[in-house]
Amino acid sequence: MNIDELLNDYIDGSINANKINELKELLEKDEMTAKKLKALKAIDVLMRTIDYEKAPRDFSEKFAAYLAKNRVIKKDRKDFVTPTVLSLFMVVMLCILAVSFYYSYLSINDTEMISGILLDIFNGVSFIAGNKLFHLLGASVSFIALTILYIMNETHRRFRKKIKDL
Amino acid sequence: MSKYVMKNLSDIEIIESVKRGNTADYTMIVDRYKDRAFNLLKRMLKNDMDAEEALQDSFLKAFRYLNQFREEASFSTWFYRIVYNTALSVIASKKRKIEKEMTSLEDMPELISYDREIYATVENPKDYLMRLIDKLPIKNALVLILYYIDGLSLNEISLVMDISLVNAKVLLHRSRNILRDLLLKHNYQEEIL
Repeated sequence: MNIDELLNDYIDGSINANKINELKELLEKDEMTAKKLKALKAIDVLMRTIDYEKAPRDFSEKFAAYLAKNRVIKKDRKDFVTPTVLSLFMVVMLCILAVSFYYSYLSINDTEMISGILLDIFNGVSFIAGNKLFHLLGASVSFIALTILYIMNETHRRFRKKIKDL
Repeated sequence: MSKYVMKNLSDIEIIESVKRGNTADYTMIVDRYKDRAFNLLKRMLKNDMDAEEALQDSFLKAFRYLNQFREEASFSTWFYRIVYNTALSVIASKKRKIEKEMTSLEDMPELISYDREIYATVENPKDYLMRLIDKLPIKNALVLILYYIDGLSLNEISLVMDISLVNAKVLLHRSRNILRDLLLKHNYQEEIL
């Protein structure tokens, strides 16, 4: 290690005890080394007292105005496409259902037949409502469906974030 | 949010808030870093107007690329890097040459005549040092400013300037030695300490 490096490392506080002893010996022997060390210390002390040159006072205000003027601050765009498509889909499905109910009602003339169908539906619902196996099955299917939906949503969200970060 | 709470927020907390959509919180980052960044730009560009323009540009770039900021590094290092690169772009756009860094006084003999002129006109050692730093090649001046005025570690300086840690250390030592040699010429250290 040369003297200049040793002196600079000493100023930076990055030398060990052995090197400090080596430096002490050098300082005793050589007056120039002592002068160099004093000059480096002077620079170190003085430099630490120097303050920043301040930015113009109104910079923050000017910058905020610039951002607003240039519309750099983007408002979060709301996603209208997905709800619109979903709503349309629901409306179409409801229309199809309504039309099919209307035509099936037209084809049934006998009121007794309608009562029979309604009674069958009622019996079916009562059977499902009273059966514990169906409860368990329903809960399991719902749980699986919700989990799948959550995973799909999370994957989609991460994918969108990845695309945005590119 | 009260001013007290805002002042105590860390850079990361503010950035998280900006990322969540509270874009107005970015002004806290601007207030926190504007002086340090301006100081650096002024030293690099040597002109108030260019420095202010580059300052605005730097904050704008940081804002636009905030999503790319990864929290493993500190925000200050990431931002200083943007400031440094912005200044280099301004220098390049003005077709100014980025001087090669000095290794010793022999590399820039004109610095000795500048030194005589500065020494004859300054009133105190602090001004003398700052005016000398302004005459140093950009990289020599920058490493001193980042280390002493901005208080960056050598590791952070190496990240900002995109050089190795060893090179950052060598550059700091060489720059300090140049000032030291000039100080010794006038025996100025005796007045300072």
